[in-house]
Amino acid sequence: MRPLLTPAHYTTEHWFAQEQAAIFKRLWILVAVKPMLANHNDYRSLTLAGVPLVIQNHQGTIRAFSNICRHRMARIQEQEFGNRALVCPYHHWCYNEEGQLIHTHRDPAVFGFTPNETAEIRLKQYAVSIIGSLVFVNLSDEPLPIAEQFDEQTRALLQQYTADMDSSFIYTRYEGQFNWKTGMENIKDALHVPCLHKSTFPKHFRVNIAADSSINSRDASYQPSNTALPQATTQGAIAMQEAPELEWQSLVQQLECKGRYQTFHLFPNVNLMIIDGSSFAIQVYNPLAADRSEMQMMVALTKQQQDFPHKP
Amino acid sequence: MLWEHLVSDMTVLQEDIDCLEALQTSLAASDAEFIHGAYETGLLEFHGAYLAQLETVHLPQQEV
Repeated sequence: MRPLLTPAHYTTEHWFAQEQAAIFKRLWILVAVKPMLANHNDYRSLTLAGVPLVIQNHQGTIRAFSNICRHRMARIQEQEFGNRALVCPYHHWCYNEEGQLIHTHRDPAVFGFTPNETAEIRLKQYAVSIIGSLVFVNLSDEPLPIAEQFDEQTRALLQQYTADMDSSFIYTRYEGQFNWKTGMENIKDALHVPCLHKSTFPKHFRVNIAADSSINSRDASYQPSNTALPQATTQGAIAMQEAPELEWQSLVQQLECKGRYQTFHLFPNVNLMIIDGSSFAIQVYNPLAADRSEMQMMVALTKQQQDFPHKP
Repeated sequence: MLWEHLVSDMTVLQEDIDCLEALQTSLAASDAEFIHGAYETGLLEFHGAYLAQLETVHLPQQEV
């Protein structure tokens, strides 16, 4: 089959700039899951398409703002995760839940702003959309409706499955010298598993490639005909073979997809896996440069129904 | 148990990352075309969607 991309799409600053503008500054991008922002003033900060962002819970409402103080451009939230109000550590400029400046210093006379001038100073706010436990941000000033990116069936399934994510989670990230697209392609490529992960990939997750009906179903002239945005997100389910019965699974909620390895490849850069209806693994490939990406990884269980026994 | 889950995943991911970093070096040195087999329609569909999105924005000073 004829290739659509060339090595230059993975290596040049030209294509990196193009995809930052057309994809990462224009589409809905996953930036958090609700368990990361469970309490009032919980926040996550990150840089998306070169834009420093803070995603913050204010009394149960999750909003996204520029993480740069309007005064001297200092970072407002300095840690990746934390719990504190929107107060710049440099001179204590303080912003409310709408991103509006509410006071500048303990002595307002120091800056001499009138109340009207103060009210006009605000952090740039970005659109947030939440499906289940998944928190998406759109950096565009005119964000497209999220329904134009993820179709109704995908949104319904994401809502159904991820709404039951437990508040406990583990998160890690890794910065690597590779293009983000190769990370997503690797996820879509079951053929590499028995080669590269011959001794490490769990046996019960392996795909029977020979039984996959899509193999040999295309001829050499195949070219994708439907490149509509909702079709760029794909999902799949693999029946788990010889899945181990784990003791803790009886203590958490069992989703309808029990017995399966359910995957969602959310365009552009998310791999969401639901394993045996009882745990989640989410990978996000965040591009930093043409040849550099940040791989974020989170694992969580479905909601606990009983307390876990304490181990000695 | 979450930690065991993560450690298990990270072992596989580290193998992927090592491979992807080596791949990036090869990509930078190559001007040849990729060769896709019949099983890789999913990759082409991803590439098709990617290119369709790129066409939505045209940056000035394009140089390929």
